[in-house]
Amino acid sequence: MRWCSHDRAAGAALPVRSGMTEVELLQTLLAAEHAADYGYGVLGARLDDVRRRQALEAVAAHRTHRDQLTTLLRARGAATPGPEASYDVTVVGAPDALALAARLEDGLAVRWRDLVGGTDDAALRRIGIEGLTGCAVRATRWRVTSGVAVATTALPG
Amino acid sequence: MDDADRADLPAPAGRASGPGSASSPSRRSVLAAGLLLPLAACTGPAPPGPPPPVDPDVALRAAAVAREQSLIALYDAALSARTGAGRATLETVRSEHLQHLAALTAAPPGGTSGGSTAPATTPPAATPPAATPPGPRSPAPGQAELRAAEAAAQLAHAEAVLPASRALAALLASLAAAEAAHAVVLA
Repeated sequence: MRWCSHDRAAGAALPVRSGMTEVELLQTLLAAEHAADYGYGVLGARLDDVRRRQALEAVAAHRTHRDQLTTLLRARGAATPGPEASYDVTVVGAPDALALAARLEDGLAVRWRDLVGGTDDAALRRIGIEGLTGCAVRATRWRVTSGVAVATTALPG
Repeated sequence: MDDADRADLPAPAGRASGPGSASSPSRRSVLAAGLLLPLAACTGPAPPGPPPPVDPDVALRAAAVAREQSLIALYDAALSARTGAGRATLETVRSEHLQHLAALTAAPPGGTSGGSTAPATTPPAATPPAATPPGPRSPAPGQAELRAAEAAAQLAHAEAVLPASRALAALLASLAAAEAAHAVVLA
């Protein structure tokens, strides 16, 4: 997965995939959570203490989701994709890091929304709403931190 | 109706000359069908056909439309009393609620669930009273009220996700997430 900070369309360009099974949706999400974890590791190093704390909180939330997804996949007897050896992440400075953090969350929001729209299982839908909402809130916080004029998006995911 | 038509047609004779004559209905069964159909038709006026399936999306969509309209009214009230700083944020959030409304009233993706026109027309009458929950003496809602309204809408959207069709569920989940994010910029 590619999380290049200069790839402006990273969030918006992620396709909404339909026709995936629940297991495939969960596996895609887990892979994306691994990528986000890596991305936060790189971008966090470019932030000051206050913002790094914000990044650490985000990482903690994502790790909770990652564990949750792993549990869901194991319960279904499905494979649990691990992290890639490396990801294409380029972060030049703090503004770049903040922009990437927002885009990471925007991109993950797409996956979580896909889960909600790809299952009839109420429990999975609840998990999907929680994941999507968390991403939307964190993306907005990152944009507020960045000083972006419009920090919200009308339709997250 | 289809069977009755078929009984009147010379189809069985035609089929008998074809290769699949073993599976073609016998003359007796065709006659029996001809006898049974009128009887069945006479059994009474009771069932006018199966009831039209109720699409749960119609009510869920209408309720979500009402929530968004209520929020828009709330922001209108807030903006009417606000000058200078803070207006931009309120205007942005209000415009996003307008986009929510547009998404909800647009034709459902794929056209799987009908009733796309009904919800757009029904809710407006019910919305104005809900717009000012705290009481008549506070015409201009403050940030705390707006946050509370967003939080309430978030919860309601999220609950509506569960019984909705997949397409509407994804949209409502997105709206719930958006309302949660609105609370962040209203802090």
